[in-house]
Parts: sequence; structure tokens; C-alpha cells
Amino acid sequence: MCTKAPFFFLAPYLFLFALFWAWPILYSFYLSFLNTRVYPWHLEPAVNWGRLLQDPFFWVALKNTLFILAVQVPLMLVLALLLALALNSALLRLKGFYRFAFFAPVVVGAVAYSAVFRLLFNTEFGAVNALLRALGHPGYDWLYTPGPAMAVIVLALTWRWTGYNAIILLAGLQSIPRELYEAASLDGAGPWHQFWHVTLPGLRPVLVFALVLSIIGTLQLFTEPFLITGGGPGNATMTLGVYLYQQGFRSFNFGYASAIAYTVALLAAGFSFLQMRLWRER
Amino acid sequence: VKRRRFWLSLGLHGLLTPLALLWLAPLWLMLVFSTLPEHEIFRVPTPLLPGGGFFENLASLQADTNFFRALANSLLVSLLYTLGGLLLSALP
Repeated sequence: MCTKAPFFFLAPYLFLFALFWAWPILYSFYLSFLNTRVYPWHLEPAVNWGRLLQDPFFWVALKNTLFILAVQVPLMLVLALLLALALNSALLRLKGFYRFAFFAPVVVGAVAYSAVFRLLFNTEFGAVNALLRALGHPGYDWLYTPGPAMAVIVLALTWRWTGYNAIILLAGLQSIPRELYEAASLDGAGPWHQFWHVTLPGLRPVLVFALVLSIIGTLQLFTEPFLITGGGPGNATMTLGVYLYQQGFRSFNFGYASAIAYTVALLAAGFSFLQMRLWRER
Repeated sequence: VKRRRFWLSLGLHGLLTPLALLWLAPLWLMLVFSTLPEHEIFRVPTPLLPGGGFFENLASLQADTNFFRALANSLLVSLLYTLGGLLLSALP
């Protein structure tokens, strides 16, 4: 009798979980095996998963996503670590102002800041090219050449998320016990040694957390490339998220979109697992 | 030692202040652009100080998109979402 009571109390939650979480997840897995390009939809496993392997657009999207993962995420996390150390330093005054400056981008809606970035990187009238010209450089056609367009995406992402990661790391820094630093300096360790042997090991779980969050965020990246460059020029900044959107909501090919979504989820799970294994406490 | 601390602190501020201003620049320009007519936004050099057109811009935004209705919708959704989330998460 007693064993049934908890499930009764959990029922509202379990019902909502089943309806809005479990069902869509399972259903989209089923969808990925259907041919949804003809009506009625029918089971044809090779049509989506087979296409994925030989679809050049998918590979371009995957390549762009992995590029951002390999370049932007390390850049941002190193910058965030340096920022967190600076914000935690006893030498810094006006901490509130600096914290506000670097965290403010998180509060701004992605659509609003994307519009401003499009203006800033406008070829003829943008502030960035105006600055470059003042320095004697002709400037770039930022949004309409592949390399610079990718650079804009990387810069926009870095601008938006560095402060967020710095605040997470700052919380981690402040949770390292002061006694460890005291003991280290009594043992004659300078700031450099303290950083490598006290700060970094103490920060490891928080760093891994920030890394895994960033990896998942990058693999699902959609907003910035979609709004700032539209995935272009050509497909130069098309990410897996943008390609998924195109397949699902432009072509209404839900089966193929589900297959892409499952690939992204598997990649995210794989990368996260790898990071947690790699950086595990020994 | 005290003198060394002073120079270190000065260096840290000298490094961090330009970076902080760079981080605030897009937000500042967003504010400036919201107060200028469209042709002023595309002026070279980029305008750095706000003008007096904020309420005209707001009026045309409201006329084009019924912005206050959108704002009210967002407010309602975020309110209901927060209440619903709190309620569901706090269920026994």
C-alpha cells in the first residue's frame, strides 16, 4: 500500500514529463526512420540516415560547427579564466563596474544584439570598418566573404558568452579555501606556482562544467549564424543548428531534420562524456 | 612592496578598462542608435552620442509593429512561465 503513494504524488510531474519530454524525444527518433518527403509518411530507414552520410551540406555544416568548437570555445574559456582571475584580484577597484561590463551582454536578447552587430560590421557604414579605415586598412566585406563572416560569428559569440563563463569561474575561484593559498605561500610558492598547483586544480570541476556547457551550446548553435549572417555567404557560416532549421521548417522534411537532431545530440553526449573522462580527478 | 602593488594594480586597470569599454560599446551604440533617425545611424564617422529622437523612434515602432502589445505579451508569458515553473518545481 505504502509503495504506491509516492507515485501518486509524482503523477502530475510524470504526466507532464511523459507528454512534453519523453514523447517528443521518442517520436523524433521514430521520425528519423520515416521518409517524410512523400505523403503518406512511411518507414524507410536508409532515406535519412543514408542521406546524412553523403549529404555535402551536412558535412559543411558539421565542419563549420567543429571549427567554431575548436577555435571559439578555447579562446573564450581562456579569456574567461583571465577575466575571472582579474575580477577576483585584490588589486582591482570598482569590481561592480567591471563585472557589469562583461556580464551585460548576457542580459541583452540575441535578436537585438544580432541587429547591432550587423550594423557594426556593415561594409560601407559600419563602425568596425570606419575604425579600420582610420587606421589605414581598407576594411573587410565582413558579412559577405566567408572568412570574415566566420570571424564575425566567433567575435559575436565571444562577446556574448565570455562574461557568463567568467562569472561561473569567478564563483569557482571564490570557493577555493583561502587556507590552501596560505599554506602554499608558507611553503614558499610564488603567485605562478600557486596558480598552477592550487588555483587550477581547485577550479577543475568548474572549468569542466563551463567547457561542457560551451560544447553543448556550440553544437546546437543557431541564433547568431541565422540572424547575423543567415548561414552565408553561400554556406560559409551554416552550422548544424541552421541546417536542421532549414530542413525542418523550410523544407518541412521532418524525418531528415530528426536524423540531424539525433546526430547533434549524439555528438554532444559523446563530447561531454569524453571531456568528463579526460578531466576527471585522478 | 607597496610600490610594486601600486604599479601592478595600475597595469591591471590599464588592461581591463579598455576591454570593459569595448564590451560595453555595442550596448552603448544600441542606446545611441535608438535615439537617432535612420540616416544618422549610417553616418561615417559613427555617431557616439545620443540624439533627441528616441520618442519619435518609439512612436514609429509602435505604429509599425504594435510594440506595446508585443511587450505585454512577453510580460504575460514570462510571468506565467515563472509562476508555472515555480509551482511545478515546488510540487510535493
